Parts: sequence; C-alpha cells; structure tokens
Amino acid sequence: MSKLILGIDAGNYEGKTVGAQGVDVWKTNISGLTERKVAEVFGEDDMEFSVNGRAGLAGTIAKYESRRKSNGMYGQSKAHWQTEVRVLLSVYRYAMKYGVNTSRVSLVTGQPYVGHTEAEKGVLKALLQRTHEVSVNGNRMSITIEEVGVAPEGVGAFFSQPAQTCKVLDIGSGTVNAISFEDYRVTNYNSDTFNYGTEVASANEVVDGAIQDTVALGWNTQDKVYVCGGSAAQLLPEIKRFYINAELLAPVYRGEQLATKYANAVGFYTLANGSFR
Amino acid sequence: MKKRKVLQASFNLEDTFEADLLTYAIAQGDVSKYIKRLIYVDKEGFRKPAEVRTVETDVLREAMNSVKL
Repeated sequence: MSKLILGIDAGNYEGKTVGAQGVDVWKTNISGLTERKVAEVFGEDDMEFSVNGRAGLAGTIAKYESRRKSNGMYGQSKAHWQTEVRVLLSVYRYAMKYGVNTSRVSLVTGQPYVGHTEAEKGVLKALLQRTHEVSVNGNRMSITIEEVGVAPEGVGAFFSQPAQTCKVLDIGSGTVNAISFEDYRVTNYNSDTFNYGTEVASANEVVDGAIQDTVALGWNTQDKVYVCGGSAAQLLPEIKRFYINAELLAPVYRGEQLATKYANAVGFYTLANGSFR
Repeated sequence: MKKRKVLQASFNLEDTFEADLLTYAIAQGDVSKYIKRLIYVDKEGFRKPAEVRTVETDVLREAMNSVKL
C-alpha cells in the first residue's frame, strides 16, 4: 500500500490540504456538540464529527452553532487538541474527495515560527502520530499517521516558490510570521512571529503592526517582501506603500499558480515529499 | 425557435471557497462573457503557466534539509 503524502495548513480560519491528487480547503470553525432544535443546512463543509471520542461540529455550521464569538485558539502555538481535530478532519475530507486510502499517511503541518521549538513540535507529533478513529456525519474512517513533520509557518510558504534572498510576510488569522531568507536559508536574527492577525485585529492594525514590527527587526523599505495568507491580496496595496517591492507569493503546484492562501500548504507538501517519499 | 439558451450556476454563500469564486467572477465584469472565455480556455486546454523562479535542485535540497521538521 503506497503512502498518502500531504501538506496540511490547519489554520484557525481555513484549513488547506495539498497532496498528489489535488487541493482542498474548508472553514475550520470547531464547536462543542449541541443539540440543535432546528436543523438547518449550512455549507458543504459541515461536519458533525467524533475524533478519538471527542465530539463536536466543524465547518461553516460551527460558526453559527457556537455561543462563543471566536472559534479558534489563536496564538503562538498549534500544539493543542484543536489542531489534532483540524488535521484529522483535513485528512478525512481529502480522502473522501479524492478516494484515497488513509492506512498510511505521512504529513507535514505548521507551527508559528516562534512556536517551532523541539518541545512544541514533540507535543504536536505525539498528538498526531498514531492511529485515529474518525467519524464524520456518521461515516467512520480509521486514519493511521505514520510520519509527522512540523515546519514553521512562513518558511513553508517560502518553499512553495523559493527565492534566493527575500522576506516572507505570512499574514494569518491569528498571527503574522515575518521570515527572512539569505541564500535560501532562514536568518533567525531578523525573523519573528507577531501575535495578531486578520481575525483578531483590524486590517489597519495588522498592516501597521507588521510594518512597525518588521522595521524593528531591521527590514528595509527596499527589501523584496513576498506576502501570503488569505487576506494578502487585500492588504498588499497598503503594505506596498512602505515595502515598495512587495508582491504576492504565488505558490506553484504541478506547474500551475495557486492562490496565495495555499502558500504554506504547498510548501508543507513540498517539504513532506522531500522527507517522506 | 429560441436563439439563446441560459445556463445557471448557484453559489453557496456560506462556503468560503464558493463565495470567493463568486466575488472573483463578478469582479471580472461581464460574467457571461467571462464564463464563455473560461469554457473556451478549458476546451482548448490552455492553463495559466506559473512563473517559476529557477533554483538548482541540490541548492533547493540543501535548503529544505536545513528545516528541522
């Protein structure tokens, strides 16, 4: 049985999955399972799930069925149960969409750059690397994850379309990863993760914050800055007022250009292919 | 006899992917012409080729190995 190799960007807003068969995206809201008096139809990504005994709602439906305003554990680490659920539901969706077997899965997923420590990676790997029992809308699936790699967000995006010397500004819903590269390598002294994003701050706050905080890291107005993330296209004009050479990071997948929000997932898939094939 | 045939497509506004497609399609201006152009491009087998920056394989391999997964 051949391996299923995937790159999974399990974001707080959307989950993006890339593999040899194609790509998938879904709305990653998660809420506890509540008894609904009126059963409405929401999105095609609606999932009433049970993952290793933990039950809940995921997808568009969870946004409306949750009492809380926010459905994400936004922050500088993804080493927690919500990531486990999001990764497993991503694998489930991908398997259903493309009709692939989930008995041998190898994947690379992401962690904010500052949270990319041995300890945090260890927690995330321990959560993921085993056999899981997943049930979605009554359909059961066993998923065995054999190999897990954890890459820093923004660094993953870089490998979707590498450039020798550049900056990557990866604007997520909860964090912004600002990563510098020289000769295709990360330079740590001028890279960081900022604890704000487009779902927890206004567009202006995110752009102003990202510019001020990257200038504090020593970034220059002339630098080649590649911007990625779901809101990158909307934010780019404001970013270009300071970083005049900024442009969207266009991930390359099977010789074609995908939307910039897939940058991390495509890069994770590239890294997974490099490590696990 | 009718000289025009109208096709319909529905978009689920609760689905971010579909809502994105709809917004993008509307932004292209004349949606009818846009869709016909897309069909033509698909029928003729054109794809938007990515502008790929070339990197030597071993340089890329070394760079990828420098990321501790």
